[in-house]
Amino acid sequence: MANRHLDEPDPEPPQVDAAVDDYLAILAKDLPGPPGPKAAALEEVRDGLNEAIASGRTRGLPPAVATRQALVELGSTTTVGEAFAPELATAQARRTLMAFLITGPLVGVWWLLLLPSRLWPPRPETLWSAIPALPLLGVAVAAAVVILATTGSMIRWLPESNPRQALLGAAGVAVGALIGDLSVLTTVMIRLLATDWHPNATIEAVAVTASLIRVPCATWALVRSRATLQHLQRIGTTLPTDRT
Amino acid sequence: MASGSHTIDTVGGVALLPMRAEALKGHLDALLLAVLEAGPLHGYAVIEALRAGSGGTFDLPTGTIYPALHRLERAGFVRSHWNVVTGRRRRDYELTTSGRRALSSERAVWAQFSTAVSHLLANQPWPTAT
Repeated sequence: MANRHLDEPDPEPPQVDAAVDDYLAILAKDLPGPPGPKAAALEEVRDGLNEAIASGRTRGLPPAVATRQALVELGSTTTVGEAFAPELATAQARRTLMAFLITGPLVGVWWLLLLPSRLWPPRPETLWSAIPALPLLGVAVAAAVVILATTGSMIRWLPESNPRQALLGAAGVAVGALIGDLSVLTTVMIRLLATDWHPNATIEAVAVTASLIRVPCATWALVRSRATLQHLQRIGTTLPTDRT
Repeated sequence: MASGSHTIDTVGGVALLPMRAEALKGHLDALLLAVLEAGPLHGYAVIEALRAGSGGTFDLPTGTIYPALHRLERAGFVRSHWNVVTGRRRRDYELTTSGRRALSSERAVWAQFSTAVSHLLANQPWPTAT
């Protein structure tokens, strides 16, 4: 410690770190949302707490008092958790929607190649009859784009979607993807079993695999969206991200 | 600010109590943009700047400042980047061009609003154009 600056307080004693760790552990349980943004939020809070404690120590406060004061200034875990919840819920909805918007075409293109294979490029009515869920998927894509726009940087000009609306939209898009995947998988099963349909085996394998992977992912997204919606319900967040 | 670390100021014998979060609703965005105007700051430095700039008047749980900064980032008014300082990761925030424009706009709106409220509270007539 020879080259530590004279003004710097001594390293925090173990009980200070333990108090901060305890606070953050409780806060972590109160935070909804995806692990990445949640971990970043906790890391930022930890940094702020360490700064506040160091500031108190520099003013001559004993470690325990500086820690207690820093924690009081930060707010209770409930207050801080409720403040973070709307942002984390919005982050979750945006991630879910982005995932579906990116994977949608990657999955869909194989089904477009597989199902209406008689005519290429297929006419709209051919597409709809081969993939009945197509209009629903169109609505889901439009909803995803609108929600992403009204929860991102476009909120400077557009009315902001609140976290509940964003999560409901994400859940709706997940349901749309589920219905789309299950309907095309069912169509393939019926065609294979009831007709003499002989699709391209590679395209069929890729399309079926893609949908079989996405079905549990969409189900998981639905479950997570529901859990976060229930969390928002519990804490009573109905407004757009709190503009305190 | 922690109430214990500040004395209560008085004006004309009336105690000026620290403002609660509710009183700041709708204004925090502008205040955060204003403290970031001078240059990039990390979260705790933003909190300290808010306290220092308000003379300790704004009594906000500091943990509520971080989500407000995140929302400003989502809106494109600030951008953030992580640095490593003395072995710890730290998130710095800085104003974007849109943030500077938003701050100018907020200042103009606030000037008009505060003038109107001040005249009403002081029972003064609104100055008429001559």
